[in-house]
Amino acid sequence: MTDRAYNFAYLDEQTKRMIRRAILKGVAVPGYQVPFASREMPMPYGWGTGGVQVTAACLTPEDRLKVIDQGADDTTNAVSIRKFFQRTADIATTEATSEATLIQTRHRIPEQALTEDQILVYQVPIPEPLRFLEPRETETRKMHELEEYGLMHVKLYEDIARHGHIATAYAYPVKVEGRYVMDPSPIPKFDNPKLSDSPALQLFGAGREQRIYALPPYTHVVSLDFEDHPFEASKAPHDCDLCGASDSYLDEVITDDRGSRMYVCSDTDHCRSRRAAGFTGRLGTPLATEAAE
Amino acid sequence: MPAYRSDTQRLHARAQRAELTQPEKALWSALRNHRFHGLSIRRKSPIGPWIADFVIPARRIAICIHPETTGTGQDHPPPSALERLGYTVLRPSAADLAPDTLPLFLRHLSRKVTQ
Repeated sequence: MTDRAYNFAYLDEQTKRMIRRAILKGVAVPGYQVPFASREMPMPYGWGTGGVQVTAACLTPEDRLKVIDQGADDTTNAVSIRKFFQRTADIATTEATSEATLIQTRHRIPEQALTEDQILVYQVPIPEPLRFLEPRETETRKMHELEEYGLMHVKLYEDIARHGHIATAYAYPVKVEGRYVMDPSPIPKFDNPKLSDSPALQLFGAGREQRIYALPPYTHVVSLDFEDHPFEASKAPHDCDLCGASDSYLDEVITDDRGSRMYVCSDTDHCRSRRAAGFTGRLGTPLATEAAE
Repeated sequence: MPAYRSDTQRLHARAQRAELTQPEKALWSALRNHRFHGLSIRRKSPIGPWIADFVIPARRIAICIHPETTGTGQDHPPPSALERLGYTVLRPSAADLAPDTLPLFLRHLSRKVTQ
């Protein structure tokens, strides 16, 4: 089969229209999970089938796509999805956050602030924030309907009772515009503040669970907390060892058999651009010097 | 927590192991299988975000063949960074690993290992 045999961005036009309708509804009711008829995609569930379908429905030939997986542009999932759209939509791709018009992400929000011209598409494994508290879909729908979110606060309180603080570090539940409790997908809670009042349109796609939800630009999003235990966007108490950034989310990497470790920015584009600008960390060298070595 | 940074790095290291250059092959055949001082030696070993050509973990020695001969890339570790991690870095060129000069390099490595 040749690449031309595919419709633009793989999905047929009817399906894309159906997904766009779901997206519009999601945008109209921020945080509400809109059911949609998720299609079989040429990748397994859990690899971003929801995000890919949302991306396919939003793509135009003029778009410039960036795909990140845990902040990195060069991981298997990101590279595969980028190649998929290059092949089926023949669109331009980039690794630079500022150049991208559409960013598909798995589990991170780019460090660089987004703009109004950008769309951020999240891959979501489990869209229902109440799923582990109430396994019945009919019940969770009713709980959302009645705004019955006490159970979620109990769950966070149990964290405090057990650990002395809210131990949830990722997929930290948020409340959208004071109405729906939403699962922000498994982004670290460090990224939660970036969800709120973002100029970019944020779309969430869950393929296996057949749900789409959205945060329109400048939507107010609040992470759930208590007066005496306010929300804290935590990260490893280190600076990036390559670029020296103190305000970026870090990956911890073991460097030898003795347990030595280093910390590097999870957002590879952010780290690279800082190093290109001459910033260096404990182990880093400016990119120009490194090339000379 | 992985010793490698990402799946891609792990796969990249694996791919590099399958496609060693001639100097790398020559050095590997002299070092592998505990042949060199009975030491365990790794080839194309991830260290942090980089992939070192050869590593002797027990002596904290990294061998990075000069990138002119092995090709540069984001994976190639800057020696200064490895030194700051406490590794002794040796940087032979391809010529140092040619059949007639390899014994000289191995003698040099032997001195480093027994220091």
